[in-house]
Amino acid sequence: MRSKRFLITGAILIVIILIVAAGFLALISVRLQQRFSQSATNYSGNELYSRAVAQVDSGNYKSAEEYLQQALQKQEDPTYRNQLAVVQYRLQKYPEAVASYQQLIDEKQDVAFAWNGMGNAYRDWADQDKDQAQKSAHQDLAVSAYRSSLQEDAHYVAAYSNLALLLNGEGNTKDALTTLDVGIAKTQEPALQKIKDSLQATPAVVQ
Amino acid sequence: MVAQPALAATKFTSPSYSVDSVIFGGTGVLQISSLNVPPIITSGPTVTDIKTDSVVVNWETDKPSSSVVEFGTASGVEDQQAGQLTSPTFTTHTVTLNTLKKGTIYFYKVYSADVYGNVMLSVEHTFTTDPGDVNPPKIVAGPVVTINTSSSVTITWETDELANTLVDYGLTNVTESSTGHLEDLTLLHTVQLSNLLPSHTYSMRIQSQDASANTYTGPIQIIQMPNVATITDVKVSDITLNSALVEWKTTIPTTTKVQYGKTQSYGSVSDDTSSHSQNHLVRLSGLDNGTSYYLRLGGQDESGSDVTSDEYLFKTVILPVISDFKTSEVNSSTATLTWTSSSDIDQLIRTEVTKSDDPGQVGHKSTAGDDKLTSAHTFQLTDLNSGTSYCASVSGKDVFGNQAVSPQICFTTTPDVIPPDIQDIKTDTSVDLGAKQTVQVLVSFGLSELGTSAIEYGEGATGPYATTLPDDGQISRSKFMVIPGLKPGQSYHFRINAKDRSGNVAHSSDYLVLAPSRPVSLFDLIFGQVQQNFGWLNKL
Repeated sequence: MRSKRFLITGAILIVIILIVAAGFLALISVRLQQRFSQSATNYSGNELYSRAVAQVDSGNYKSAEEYLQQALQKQEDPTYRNQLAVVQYRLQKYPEAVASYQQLIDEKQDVAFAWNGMGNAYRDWADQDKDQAQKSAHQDLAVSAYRSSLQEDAHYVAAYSNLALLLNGEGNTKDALTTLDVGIAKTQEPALQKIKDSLQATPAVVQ
Repeated sequence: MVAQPALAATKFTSPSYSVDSVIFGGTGVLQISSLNVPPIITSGPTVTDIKTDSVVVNWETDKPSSSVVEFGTASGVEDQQAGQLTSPTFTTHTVTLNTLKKGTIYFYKVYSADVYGNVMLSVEHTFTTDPGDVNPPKIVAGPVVTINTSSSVTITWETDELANTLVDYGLTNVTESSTGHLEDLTLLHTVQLSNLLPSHTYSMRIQSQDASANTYTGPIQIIQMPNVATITDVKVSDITLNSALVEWKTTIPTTTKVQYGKTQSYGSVSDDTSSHSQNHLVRLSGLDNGTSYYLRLGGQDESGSDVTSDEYLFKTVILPVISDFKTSEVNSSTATLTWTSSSDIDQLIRTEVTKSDDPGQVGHKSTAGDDKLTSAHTFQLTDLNSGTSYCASVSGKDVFGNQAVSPQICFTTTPDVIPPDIQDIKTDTSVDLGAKQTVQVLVSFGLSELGTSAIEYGEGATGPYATTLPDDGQISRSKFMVIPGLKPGQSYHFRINAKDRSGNVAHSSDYLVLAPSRPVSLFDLIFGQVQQNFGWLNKL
C-alpha cells in the first residue's frame, strides 16, 4: 500500500516535470517569435525582401515567406507579392499562391506571369485532390488561367507549354498540339516545337 | 525793468508787462503782473508707453502752455526736440518721442511756454527705452546636411522665431564664403551650397538673425563631399522566363535609368526621372525567355551630371524542356535513367510494367522522384523485376511551376541468373534468463537484391546442419534473424541461404559462433539483488 502511494507520487512528479518542461519550451518559442518579429519590424521593406531572396536561394521557403509577409506589411510592392506567390507555390500552399497571383492580376502587375503562375498552382492543386470532381474543377481553372495568360500576352511561351502539357495529360492530345501550333506560330519559339515533337513521339524502345 | 512816463489813459497790455493805473499829467508806475509768471509744472513729468523706439512724456502745468520735450543721449546735451512749440493751449501735456534707440538711457527736459511767452524749462530727467528682444533665435531642428551631388549640399534647419538664413563655409576657414537669405525672415531655413569640390572636406556653420538683430551662430561642422556619383552593388535577381529584377546603389542620389536589350546597342530603356535616390530597384518585364540581355545602368545626380555603369549581361530563365532522356546500365533489377533539362527542374519518374511473365504485374505503375532543382538528372530505378518490360517517362517543374515532360522510353530488364550476394554478416549473442537458461544468436546481414532468407546450423565447428530456421518469407534487402535455444558454452556453425525473386539461391560461407557460458555479469548480480529485495512488487 505504502509502495503504491510511492509509485503514484513518483508518477505525479514526473508529470509535473514534463508539464514544466513543456511550458518552458513554449515560452522560449514565443520569445524567439517575438524577437524575430521585433527585429523584422526594424528592417525596411527592401531589406526584408533581400533577406527573403537569400532564403529562397538556400531553399528555405518557409523563412522566405515570413520575410515577404513582413515586407508586404511595410509596403505593398508587386515584386514582393510576386516572390511571395512563387514561395507559396513552392510550399504547396496552393490556395494562398492563387490568392497572391490574383492580387497581382487585380493590381495589373505582371499579369501574364501571374495568370500562368495561377494556372500552375491550380494544376498542382488538382494533382493533390482525391475527390475527382474537385480535381476536375481545379484542372479547368488551370486551363482557364493559362488561356488568360495567353490572352494577356500572346507571346508568353510558358503558358503555351503548360497548357499543352496539361491538356495532353488529360488525354486531350489534339488540343494540346493545336495549342503548341498556335504558340509556335506566334512566338517562333524552338522549345515549343521540341515539346510538340515529344508529344508526337512514339515510345523509344531500348534493346 | 525801467519805468516810463505814461502819455495816455488807455490801458494796455503786452506779453510781458501790464499797467495797473494811469495818472494823467503825473507819473505812472509799471509793475510786473501775474501775466509775467511762467507756467508751473503741477504734475510730472512722467514717462509712459516705453517701447523699444518710443516713449510718451506727460506733465501738467498750471496754465495753458505749449508742450516741448528736449532730449538726448548724454546728460546736458538735449539736442533733439519733440512737441508743439506754437500751441500753448494745454495744461495737460503729452509728447511722444519717436525713433529712439532700444535699451538706451535718454536725458530730457520738458519745456512749456504760455501765451505770453513765459517759459518753463524743467530740470533734467532720464528714461530708458525698452531693450526689446535680446534673445537670439533657438534652433529647434537641424541643421541637416543633405549631400545632393558630389559638388552640392543642402543645409536645412528650423528656428523658434522668424530669422534670416546664412551659412558660412570654407575649405580652410569657415568664414571663406557665406550664402543665404539675409532679407527673408523665416522659420524654415534652406541653403544650398553649390560648386563645392568633390572629395574635399568643408567647414560649415549656420547663422540666423532675428528682427531684433539677435544672432544665433552654430558650431562649426564638417562636410565631407563624396566623389562623383558612382554605381555599386549591382545585382540582377528574381530572373524569370520574362522578367528580371535589377538593383544597384549610387554614392549620391541620382535618377534611375536602365538601358537593356539583346544587343550591345540595347534598344529598350527605363528612365525614371521623377525622384533621386541612392537605392535603385527596377523590374524589367516583357523579356524573352532563355535570352541574354545586355544591361547598362545610369542616372543623373541633382546637378544634372550623368552617371553610367559598366555593361552587364544576364540571361532570362529558359522554358524547361527535357532532352537526352535515355536508359543505361539496364540489368535484371535496376536501370539508370539520365536526362537533361534546359533549366533547373525537379524530377518525377513514372514507370509502368508493359510486359511480364507475371500477368498480374502488367499495368502496374509506380512513381519516384525528388524536388531538388537541377538541369542534369540521373535516377536509378531499383528493385525491378527481371525479364520484364517497362515504359518510363520523366517530368519536372521549374521554380515557377512550369512543367516539362519527356517522351516515353521503354526497356526490358535482363533475365536474372545471378543469385543474391549475402553481405555484412554480423552476429551477437544474448542469454535467455528464463528457466531454460539458453543462448540465442542474433544474425544480421544484407542482400544485394530483394530476396528471402533462411539459416541452417548445427553443433560443433563442422558437420551437418542439423537444424534449419525456415525461410523468413520477407522480400527485402536488410535481414535480421535469431537462432534460439543454443546451449551455453557450446560452439555452433551456421550458414545463410538467400533466394532472389527469380529463384536464384545463394549460400553464405560457414560461420562459427560460440554460445557463451551462463553469464554472471555485474548487471546480473545487481539485477538479481534488486529482484530479491523488490520481488514483492510483482505481487502488487
